[in-house]
Amino acid sequence: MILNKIELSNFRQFYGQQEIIFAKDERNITVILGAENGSGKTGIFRALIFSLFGEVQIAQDNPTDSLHIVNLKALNENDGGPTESWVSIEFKDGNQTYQLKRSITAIKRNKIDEKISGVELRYTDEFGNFSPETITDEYEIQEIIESIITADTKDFFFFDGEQIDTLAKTDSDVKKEVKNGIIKLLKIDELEKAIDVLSALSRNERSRITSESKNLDLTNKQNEIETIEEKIKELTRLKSQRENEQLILNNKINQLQEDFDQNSEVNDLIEKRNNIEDKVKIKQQLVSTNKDVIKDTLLDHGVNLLLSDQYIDVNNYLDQVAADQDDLVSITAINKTLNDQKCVICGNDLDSSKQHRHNVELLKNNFKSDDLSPLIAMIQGTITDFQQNQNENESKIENSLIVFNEVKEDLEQEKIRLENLNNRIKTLALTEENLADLQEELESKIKELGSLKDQNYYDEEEINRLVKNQVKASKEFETLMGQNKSLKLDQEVLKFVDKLEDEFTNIFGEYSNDMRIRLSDEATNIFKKLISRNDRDLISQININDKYEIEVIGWDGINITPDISQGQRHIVSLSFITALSRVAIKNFKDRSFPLFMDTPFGRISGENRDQLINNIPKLTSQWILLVTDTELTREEEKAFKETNKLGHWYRLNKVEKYHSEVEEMHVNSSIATRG
Amino acid sequence: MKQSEDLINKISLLSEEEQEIGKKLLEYIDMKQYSNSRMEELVKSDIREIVWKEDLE
Repeated sequence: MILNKIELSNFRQFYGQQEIIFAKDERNITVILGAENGSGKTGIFRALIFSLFGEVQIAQDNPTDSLHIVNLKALNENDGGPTESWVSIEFKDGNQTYQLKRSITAIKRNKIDEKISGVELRYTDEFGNFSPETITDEYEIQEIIESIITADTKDFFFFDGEQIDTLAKTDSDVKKEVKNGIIKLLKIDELEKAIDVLSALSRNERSRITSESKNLDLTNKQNEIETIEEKIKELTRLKSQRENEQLILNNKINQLQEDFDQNSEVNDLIEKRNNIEDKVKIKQQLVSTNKDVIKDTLLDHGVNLLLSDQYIDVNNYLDQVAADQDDLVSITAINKTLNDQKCVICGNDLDSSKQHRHNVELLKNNFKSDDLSPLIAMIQGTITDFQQNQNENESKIENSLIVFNEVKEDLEQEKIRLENLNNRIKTLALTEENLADLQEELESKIKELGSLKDQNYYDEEEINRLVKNQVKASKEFETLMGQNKSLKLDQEVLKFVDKLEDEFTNIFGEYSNDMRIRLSDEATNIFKKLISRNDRDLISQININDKYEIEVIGWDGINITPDISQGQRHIVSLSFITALSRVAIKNFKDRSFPLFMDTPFGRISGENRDQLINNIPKLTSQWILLVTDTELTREEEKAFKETNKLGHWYRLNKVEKYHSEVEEMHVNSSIATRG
Repeated sequence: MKQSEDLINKISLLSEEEQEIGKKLLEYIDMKQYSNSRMEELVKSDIREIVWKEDLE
């Protein structure tokens, strides 16, 4: 299939009629840039899906959202009256060219009602002329389209880049999708269906012959065969159900294991938290001791420290007061001088000088005690004491303050760490009790998986045994039938059918095996071309296994599918899709598929983008990209131009709300607005 | 009928009669015009014809 062009009329954001011609042959890249939100980038994607399959919703839509196809500006201009929107595409498949046009009409009353109003298909005859006859029967058109590209496989070729990486994920729905894609695209499904038809024919023939023959032995044998077949069918159904359960269980075990690992991380974190809590306690004690030291020192000396400047003045003042007193010499000194007969002040001997003794005795007689003197002595004594210890007390408080500050800061830091740890623990998990539950659940699931595997093993053995019995019973049935001459022809027909069924089953096995191997090799080759140099050696092989699942094998031969990054997943998926179309093309010579990608580079890094831009055009017949301005920076624009494969370059312009237009740019013009 | 060359090669390893019936059956499937029971009928009558012919020979 090669897309020639698409025309839209009043479709979604596109007001009036718009046209896009797709690039093909040597220059096979079409880039459509929708820079602004709502410019209609996804509208083009939707139009293509709508025209081919009549589907209004696309994979990326929320299925519960209702969206309108008919352009709202056109509908409003028509006062809500019947307004038609249509999409017409022209494409080539093999030697034939097709024109497919699908219309939808909307009416706006209280709400907008839309209804598909018509579909028309025209195609060319053997001389390349369009037949005058138009096919309008939806069913007939669907049949024709399905023979070109099935609705089941369309998602492989028309896809949203942001979702494509899901193909390389490991859940069961995706595996089914991959399997379905391979089987449909490589037409293995027809072979499968042929086997089904032959098998049903064989069964029905046997029943018919038996009932017509009215032979009791034959009837019994047929019943025996049917019972065995029923058992095989039931066991096969159970086995496949159990295999599915195994898959789900495996995922659950992985998830539990992850939770458990995270929780053992929690244990480490809890231990860390306990250590920090101990540290915090010690530091808090230190803070409190320091506080006490400062408090006590302040209580004892704080007042003095506050008044230290005043004390100097007070001391001087008190000296003056003392000097004004008459009792310049204290009575104690006078008494001591008289007792010792020696002046306590100058050391003169009183015994040797009567005059001196007389003077002292005169002092004593004249001594007039003053009430203030003891108080002055006490205050001055206190001030002296304080001044002697002032420095010591000040540095004691200062040191305590320094230590206090340091510890307090440490404490704050530890508290922040503690809070972070607590938050991390909260987000990670669970209490220790829950952790034990988790471990228990994990163990029970592993046990459950083990018993499922055992059961499947026994089932397989039983199926093998039943198949042998079935073969034996069938032979006995044939012998019995052989004894009945009138059934000779029927017997020959039945033999033929059974043999053909066996042959087809073998062909099916061999053919699908060959296809898987070819697909794996092709996907690996393409992957090596598309991936950046750095990652090239990390992944050795993309494998499609016997259950049609995509496996990514690392450099060491280990399956690393669940561990690869989103960007790598994206490239694995792209490689698989490209490989699928290439294998299909090789098998069916006149087949080709365009690669139509909305938001192609979403999670892909710079170097990988360049690799894709360089290589995809060589690998597919047509590459159509719907890009945002962040995906098409000047770097990508340069890379596209350097390929010499750029055929058409479009920009979607948003004129106003509900009005976008398609503008074709010259391939040499500059279109990127960023980077 | 668009069958892959590989598949056609594999089918061509069958006996002539089997090839004939096998290809016809795949054609019926490809045409998507017949129900399963109708296809069974068609294949059966095709096989009967061959068996008859062989018998006559």
